[in-house]
Amino acid sequence: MVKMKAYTKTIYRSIKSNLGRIISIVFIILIGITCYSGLGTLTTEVKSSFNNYYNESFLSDLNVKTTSETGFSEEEILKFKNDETIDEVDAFTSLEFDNYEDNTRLYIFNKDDHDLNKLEIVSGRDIEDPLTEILVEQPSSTIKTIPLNSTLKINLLGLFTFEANVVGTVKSPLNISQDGDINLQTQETLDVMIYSYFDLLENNLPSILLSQIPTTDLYISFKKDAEVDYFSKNYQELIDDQKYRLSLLFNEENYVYLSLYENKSYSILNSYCDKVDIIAILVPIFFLVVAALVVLTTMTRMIDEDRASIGCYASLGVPNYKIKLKYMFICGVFTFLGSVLGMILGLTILPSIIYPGFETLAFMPPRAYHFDVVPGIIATLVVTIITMSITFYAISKDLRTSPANLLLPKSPKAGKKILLERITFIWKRLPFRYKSSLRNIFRNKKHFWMTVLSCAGSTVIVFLGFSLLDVVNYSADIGIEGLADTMVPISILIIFLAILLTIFVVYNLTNMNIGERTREIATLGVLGYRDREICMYIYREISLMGAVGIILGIPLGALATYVLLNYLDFGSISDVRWYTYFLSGALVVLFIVIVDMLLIRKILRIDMTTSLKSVD
Amino acid sequence: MASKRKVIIVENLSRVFKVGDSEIHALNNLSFDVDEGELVIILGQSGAGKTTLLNIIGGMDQATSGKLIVDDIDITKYSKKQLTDYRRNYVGFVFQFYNLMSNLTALENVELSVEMCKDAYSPKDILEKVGLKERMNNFPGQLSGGEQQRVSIARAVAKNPRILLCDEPTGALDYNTGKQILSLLSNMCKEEHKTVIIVTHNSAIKDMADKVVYIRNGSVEKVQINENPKKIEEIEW
Ligand SMILES: Nc1ncnc2c1ncn2[C@@H]1O[C@H](COP(=O)(O)OP(=O)(O)OP(=O)(O)O)[C@@H](O)[C@H]1O
Ligand SMILES: [Mg+2]
Repeated sequence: MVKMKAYTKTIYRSIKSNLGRIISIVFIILIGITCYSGLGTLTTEVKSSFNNYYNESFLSDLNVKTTSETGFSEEEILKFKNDETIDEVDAFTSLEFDNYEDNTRLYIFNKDDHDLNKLEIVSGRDIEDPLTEILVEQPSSTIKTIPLNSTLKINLLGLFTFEANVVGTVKSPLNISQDGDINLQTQETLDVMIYSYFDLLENNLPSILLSQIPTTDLYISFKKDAEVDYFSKNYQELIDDQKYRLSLLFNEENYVYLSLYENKSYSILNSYCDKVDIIAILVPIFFLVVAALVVLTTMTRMIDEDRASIGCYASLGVPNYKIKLKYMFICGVFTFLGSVLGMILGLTILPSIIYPGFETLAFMPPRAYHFDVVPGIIATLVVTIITMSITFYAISKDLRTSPANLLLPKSPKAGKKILLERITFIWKRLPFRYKSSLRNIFRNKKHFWMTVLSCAGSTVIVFLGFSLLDVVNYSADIGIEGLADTMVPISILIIFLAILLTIFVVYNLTNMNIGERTREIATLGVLGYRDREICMYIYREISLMGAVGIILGIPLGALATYVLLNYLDFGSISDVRWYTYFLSGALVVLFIVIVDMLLIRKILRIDMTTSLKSVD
Repeated sequence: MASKRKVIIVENLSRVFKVGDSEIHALNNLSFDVDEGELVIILGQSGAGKTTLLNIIGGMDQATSGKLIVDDIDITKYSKKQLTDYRRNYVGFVFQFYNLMSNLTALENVELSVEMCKDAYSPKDILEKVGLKERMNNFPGQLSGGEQQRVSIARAVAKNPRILLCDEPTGALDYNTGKQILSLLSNMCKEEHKTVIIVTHNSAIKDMADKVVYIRNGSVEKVQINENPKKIEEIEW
């Protein structure tokens, strides 16, 4: 029992003395997982919100149109109604015409036969007097505003003119986007959409004309077992099969079958969701790679620093598995903690921020909360397994050397010259504070690459965020409004998370660097180096590695942007403004400077007398 | 002899460490003085307060009370910044465990220390003096303990400090190497006219000093003046 207590105590001490870097690990993982699970859940929420809405409004599965002058006959309609697979059929008339310069579509429903594609009253009220009253589609970027309670003059097909009272504006489930709909013959955007009952025409048209109004359209819904996912492959297959079956069944040249996939607002939303999904898969990968890299660096450096105490435990006969367990435990617990917190934030706050952004694209139904933990859990597992395996590898490697060897400080590879030293005429001219930094940088290759790659990774994601915003803004400028506008909040969010991640990455690297070099710092203090000189001595190294990272990161960021845009099939790398290349690098530099400032206190707190007492 | 200037005057120096609620009196009203060019050995058992004393004289730590006058100035009143300048210009420090920068060659380690000093010696000359002419471009990892300690002495001396402070400089070395190092320090004292203070718990070497300060429980037990200090080569232990 006593032994167990001592063991938990060493874990507790390790955590306490490494608190700074452990907290940054938690945050770095948190940010990565927030990004991953948050962006991933976004389209799921949007789609399920629309599914709810579609289901509630009894969305039709097909709109069958006939091009025949006389429209659908009673027999034809009956044939549809009698089909076993068909649940509901609404027969109506849809007329498209130029009404005093407005591209207009007039829906004429039968009052007892209007069950599908329920209209939602947005303002005003429903029709009470079908003889005189009409509803109009709510205004959008394409649909005109028609004031409530106004009288609308309708010049029907240039044949007959009458007036109707506008009593309400409505939203149709077939018309969910700002981009409205088009006249099917002229392909011109519709300005006005009117919903009325046949009674209105009966009241206004002479009977000779009335008898000539054909039944042009059918809304059809199929029998289904449960609520459908309108964005699923299954649904698409069902509709395709049915289209094929019906076309064989009726063998009618005149029929046109329009499904959800021919609906403009649906396809815009769907293709937008596909793009967000691509961003949601690709961008977080960069975040997670950086996060995993930092966890790795942190754990291997922690194990390197603990060499002596690992050797001490080993020589005291503490079983290897217990020593390994300690580091695996620290790595696992904090990666897991960060992941869980990240998943909570990612599934709650992140979609709340972005969801309203969809309003510019579509008339959003109420948000359906959808806490899909699966992607988050998968990412957590992947990150945890990778970092834990490498931690395991690092500690196992240490434990293979004899305890006696571990107790000695890891001797630097004796006097290995770095490449630059061989270029004597440059080397000779360097003030040797630079020589020292350069040697330190290049002597430990593992250390060098991990630092450089972490900084490069941070630069990549910052660049990616800004360049995405550039491309999106550019697309908005050239008129791809809805889509571009909705991508703005996503880009800003990516920038925000990238900045946050970068700050923690830089903090963690600098903090570790200072921690490892307390002895050097104390020695410089004894030699009479001033505070500023000591800080410079320490920061020169991390700044040089940071600079290499940034220089590598910018072209890698451009490459990442290129790949992302390629997958997105949207914008081009040339839409990225030239100063974004500098801005992203400059920002990372700025964060390095800020973090350096914050950590000056840590350097100056190092006590010369206690730091130099023992061998290690 | 009596006309010699006093470089260091320690007067009622105390240093109290607070550890939790308890207080440790590492130095307790300690007084002694050091003449210019003198080789002083501070002797005392483990925990007597030798390192604490040397750290305060070296400007690395500050006394709780008392005076420490160096060249007529009481440095206990110094600010942190003044102490840095004091360390830079006045003191050279030699540690038991060398504390060299492992990524710098012997020469560069010495250069590191003289870089910001005004009247420093040439690092190469000093390394030659400590017998490392041939090893100047070696890294600490390629040098033996004794050689590393010689680099560390060169590093301290090259600054041309007024005072050379050595805390157990032979503590990690074998008998013969230890002797070489002590001989080197004694030469530095005599030839370069440095004031040298060596802390040790090896009482055998006390005969090489001009003055021996015995410390016990943070106070001076006695001060012994050797009119005729022996050469280190004559001392056996
Ligand atoms: N930073 C510190 N905090 C608390 N106590 C300290 C500290 N430094 C030294 N002490 C205490 O002060 C006393 C004197 O310590 P010091 O290191 O000066 O002894 P020393 O004479 O150098 O011993 P040794 O020969 O073993 O090196 C000891 O009791 C020690 O525990
Ligand atoms: Mg001591």
